[in-house]
Amino acid sequence: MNSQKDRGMREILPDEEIVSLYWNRKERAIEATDDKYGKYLYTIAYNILRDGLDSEECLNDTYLGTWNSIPPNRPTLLQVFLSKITRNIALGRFRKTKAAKRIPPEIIVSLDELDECMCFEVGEDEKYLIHQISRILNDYLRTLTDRQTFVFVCRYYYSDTIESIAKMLGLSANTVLRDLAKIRKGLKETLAKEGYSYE
Amino acid sequence: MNKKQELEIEILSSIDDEIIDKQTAKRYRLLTGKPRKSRRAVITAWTTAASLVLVCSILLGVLLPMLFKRDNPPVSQQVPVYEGMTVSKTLPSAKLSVDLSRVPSVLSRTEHAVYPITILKNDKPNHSSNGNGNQGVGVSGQEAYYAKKHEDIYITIHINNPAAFEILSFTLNDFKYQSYMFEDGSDSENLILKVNVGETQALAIDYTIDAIKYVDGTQIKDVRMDGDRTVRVNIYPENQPTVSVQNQVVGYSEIRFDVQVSDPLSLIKNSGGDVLVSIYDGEERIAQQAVNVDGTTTVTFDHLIPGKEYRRQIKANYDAIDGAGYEAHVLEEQSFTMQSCVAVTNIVTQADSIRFDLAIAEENKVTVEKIELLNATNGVVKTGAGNTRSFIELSPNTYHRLRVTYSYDFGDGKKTESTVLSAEIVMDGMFFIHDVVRNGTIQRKYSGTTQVYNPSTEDYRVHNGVDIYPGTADTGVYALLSGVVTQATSYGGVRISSSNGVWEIRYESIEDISVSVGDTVVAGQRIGTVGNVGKETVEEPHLHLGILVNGSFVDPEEYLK
Repeated sequence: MNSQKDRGMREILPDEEIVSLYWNRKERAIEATDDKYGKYLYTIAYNILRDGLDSEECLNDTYLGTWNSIPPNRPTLLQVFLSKITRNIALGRFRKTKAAKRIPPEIIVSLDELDECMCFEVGEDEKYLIHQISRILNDYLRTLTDRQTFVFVCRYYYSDTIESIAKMLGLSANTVLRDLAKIRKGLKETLAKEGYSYE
Repeated sequence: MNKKQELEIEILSSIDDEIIDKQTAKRYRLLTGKPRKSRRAVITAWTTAASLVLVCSILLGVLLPMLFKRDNPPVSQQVPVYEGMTVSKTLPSAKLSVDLSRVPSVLSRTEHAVYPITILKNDKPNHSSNGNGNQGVGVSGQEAYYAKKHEDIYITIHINNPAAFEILSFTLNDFKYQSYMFEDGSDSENLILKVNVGETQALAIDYTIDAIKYVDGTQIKDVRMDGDRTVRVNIYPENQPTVSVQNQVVGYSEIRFDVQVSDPLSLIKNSGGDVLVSIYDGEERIAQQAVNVDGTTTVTFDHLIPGKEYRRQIKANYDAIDGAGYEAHVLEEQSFTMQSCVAVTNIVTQADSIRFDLAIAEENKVTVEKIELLNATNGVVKTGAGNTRSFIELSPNTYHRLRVTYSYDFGDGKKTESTVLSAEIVMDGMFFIHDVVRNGTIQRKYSGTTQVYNPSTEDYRVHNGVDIYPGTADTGVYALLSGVVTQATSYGGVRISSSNGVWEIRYESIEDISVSVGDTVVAGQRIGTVGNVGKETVEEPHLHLGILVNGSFVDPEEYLK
């Protein structure tokens, strides 16, 4: 991908123009995407993969996936569109990676945190389980404040580190940790009411 | 990653796009925008900035004055400065106010308590001596303090003492006053001293201050003396101007008297004032004359109305040295009444008439215009011409006055009208028993509505009159009042009614009647003799007298004397 030096020399295009490039099958679209969202997407991949090379490859796969998605898609929020693609690719690559890491990737750490409140047993109808838990989770997230929702999404969807989240919000790490603990507690209680508990 | 975690990833991936999209956009903004400072960092930054501003302000506040006022010593080194004295008649307080326009500028600072009496400027008033060697009070136009003998005054010493050094003492008129002698309310800048003026013949007392001491650490130092060191208190002179009025003669239209002015301290003279005599008719001043301040002046006012009351006022303008300045003073005030040219004299009243005379002075100047008979409420009952000397057909038991109106000729073509009132005249039914029966005595009284034994008729009946027995050989019966005979019978007796219809006198048991019905009889006219005619035949000869007023019997003894 383009180096930082290269990125710094080109003009950053607005999303509509980038999407138009895709639609017009201009390869310039990839460059423009990388210029604008490359670093951002890299962090998403790195959060999950915890590996630079894997993250770079994930990024390349993201651009390929985007080239193949636009058209027919015409996303209005390009960075959201790209974020999802990158995350999915990174997760897929993560699943395939069997090698143990001395330092577990943030996604594992965050999922370990989520285990305490995701009180369900594997073995049930997985599709139904995913559907039910997802419904409950979505309803619960709508009861949270904007900051709480942001913290939850950053931590458990994007696997951002506590420090990264604290830095984004201008808070202390302890504050973020308290927020997450409170959110998890509320999620656990909500799931328990729906019958999903360990007791 | 275990199976559960994979499911969790699936669950997380199933979060609604709406939620993910919103938070992802926010995440992108925060990641790609300027890093947000932590709240602690923001607070720290603001606190640091505020601290810097505060420190700079303090430094500026301290350094600037030092830079621009290098010659001002610190407050702790400022020597106290005496600025002056004020005098008051009551213990000064901060709540008292003063007209600052009357206070010298050195003491017009608002941080000093202010007092109701102004300060004498440093210029001393001129003193002059009159021929007797007494001190006079110069008219300098300066404002001054005033006090009376034996009066307590409060002298306040004003000191500019920002460092609040303790004031130890001061000397006033060569007497040293220690701090414990200061009055309550004194502080480091206002020392209050109570002084009694005492007995003095002087017109003023000077109070001079000196040697004010204060404590600076372990040293006793002198307060710097800047203001006036002397304050003068004028003593209110008791010998104020007086006047005496002598040899007063009140005539009919002229009043004359001598006015003697006494001004031992020449207050009037030194004030350049004058003495005026004024005559007032009510509130209206009708005449005024100036009199000599020295000696005696004969004052005459003429063209006054005879019989009228006036008021004399003698007033002088001068400075009484009481603090009020040059103003008018009333020295004497008295009412007087001019003599009346006409007097009502020789008033004679009978039952229904009044006769009188008029004594007229200065007949060549007086013309009686009319004479009025007034009732008790000063209503006019009857009016007569100027030559009237009687009023008849009056009612008894009433009050009257005579009002005589006359004109007075001043002789210079001017005339005035005047009135005079007589004394009160009581018409109380002045019938005399002697008038009807000479030396008569009442043997049987009026019984009103009570039936009493009648010896003549030997029964009980009302006795509606009195029985009058003669006391002399003259047994004549005489008319009590004038009127018309309405009955004249030997049995019924004689009845005479007054022309105003109020009175009817019945003369019963009367013989030798000498009047007939319709005759006009005057009071005192003989109408018969005492007899035993009619119902009274058993008894000794007597007159039965009945009196009716407005048709009703009354007790004749109420009208008989």
